[in-house]
Amino acid sequence: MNDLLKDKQFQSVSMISLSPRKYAIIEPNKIIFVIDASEKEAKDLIKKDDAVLKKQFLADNSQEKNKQDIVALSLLPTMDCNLRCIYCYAKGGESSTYMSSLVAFSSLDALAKNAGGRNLILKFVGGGEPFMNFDLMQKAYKYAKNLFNKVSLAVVTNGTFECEQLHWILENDVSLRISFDGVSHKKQRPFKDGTSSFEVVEGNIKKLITAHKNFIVECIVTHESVRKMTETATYLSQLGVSVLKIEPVHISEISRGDSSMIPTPKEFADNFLVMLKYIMDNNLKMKIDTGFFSKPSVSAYCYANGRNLIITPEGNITSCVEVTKITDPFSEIMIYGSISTGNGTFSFNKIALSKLKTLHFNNCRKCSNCGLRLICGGGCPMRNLWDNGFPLRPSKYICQIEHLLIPEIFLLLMENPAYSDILFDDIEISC
Amino acid sequence: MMKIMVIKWKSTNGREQSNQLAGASHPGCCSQDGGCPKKHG
Repeated sequence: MNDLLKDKQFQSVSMISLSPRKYAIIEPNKIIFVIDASEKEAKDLIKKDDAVLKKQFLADNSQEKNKQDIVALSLLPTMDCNLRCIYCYAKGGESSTYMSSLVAFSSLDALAKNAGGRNLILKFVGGGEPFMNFDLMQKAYKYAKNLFNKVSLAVVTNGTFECEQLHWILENDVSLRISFDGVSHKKQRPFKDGTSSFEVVEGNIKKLITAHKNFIVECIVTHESVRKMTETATYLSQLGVSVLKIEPVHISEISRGDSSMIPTPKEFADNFLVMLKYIMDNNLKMKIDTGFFSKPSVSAYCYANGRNLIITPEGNITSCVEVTKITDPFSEIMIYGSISTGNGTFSFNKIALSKLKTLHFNNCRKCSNCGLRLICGGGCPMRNLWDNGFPLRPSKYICQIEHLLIPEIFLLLMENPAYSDILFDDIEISC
Repeated sequence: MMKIMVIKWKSTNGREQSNQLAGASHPGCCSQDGGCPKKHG
């Protein structure tokens, strides 16, 4: 490593060797592939880029510090659910708590005290299925519009919404992520009574496509379904789905299901690559998204480091949707505040908040020596905690997938830059 | 002879404020949907 790479401030650059004379230099917002070069020649490119790099680093940081004109609030309308997905991270439906309007309104009031007049992204997430508390969603949206300059809506849903809810989605241009497991859906995501939800979700997806609505389908892969990733991508592409997010199942202490459901890192990585090549070779009009590969950045994996405002049905503030009950493991840290419904204010637990702020890969010794850290962001911090607790250490499972997957994706991109059409948007490629 | 290929993202904001796609982001952790890049179930 050259001096630049040793400089703490410039841990915003890394280089990995892909194969003899092939390297990837990773910087914020940029990947440089170096082909047919010695290691020294590749490292020299980093030195040449020093001035540019400093500029990028500062720009990336200033963007981070600039909280923009946008604020975000996530509401968990209910822990109830009409499905009984075999792997649900929240055991959705086993608790039937619903958020009251008072909690939702008080949360919006509290946020507006500091950020009123700004633009708000109001998200409805699970826990349970948000649309099971549709009345609250509508009321919260209406209330928020009186407090903020502009309100954008986002919902993560199981896709079983009804006609009225579909109209609401379309009328309000809601950003949608729909959980749908494609050819493995029937087995993995049944209704509460055990019957298939496949037809309902597929029907709704068709309606959205007919209405030219953009949305993301999220597909969860288990040990049993991992070999069907390509089949699922093909089926969804034929259906008209244009963005597929695909992730391996994770079973934590509070999930439904057991660890036998988890595909091995190699199974997941191998089948992901097969799927990717199939999409390319068959010219499927589909983007693939995964939490394993992000735009290179010095920022944390997500906002779980004390910047998420996720309100539970009871009015607690959690930093991650996976920890919502005070009886959950890590709740003493992840649930870092509550909403006072009396006067519409947030109160925060400063000790928990200070601990949450450590959830950045810079605080992880293993990550600071890893060439992929700007791509993976250290991986899901909650997953890291489930696996290892505090202090922050990366999940071995996630690391294995990253190291199996990313170098191979890099090699595919070097051979055929058209893979970038499947994996990225908002980029430019130069040679 | 050494060859170089550069992939550069047009937006320079951090991971969280990005668009919805993987390469462009951890997908919409903040702006596009539910706030979690992974949401594994």
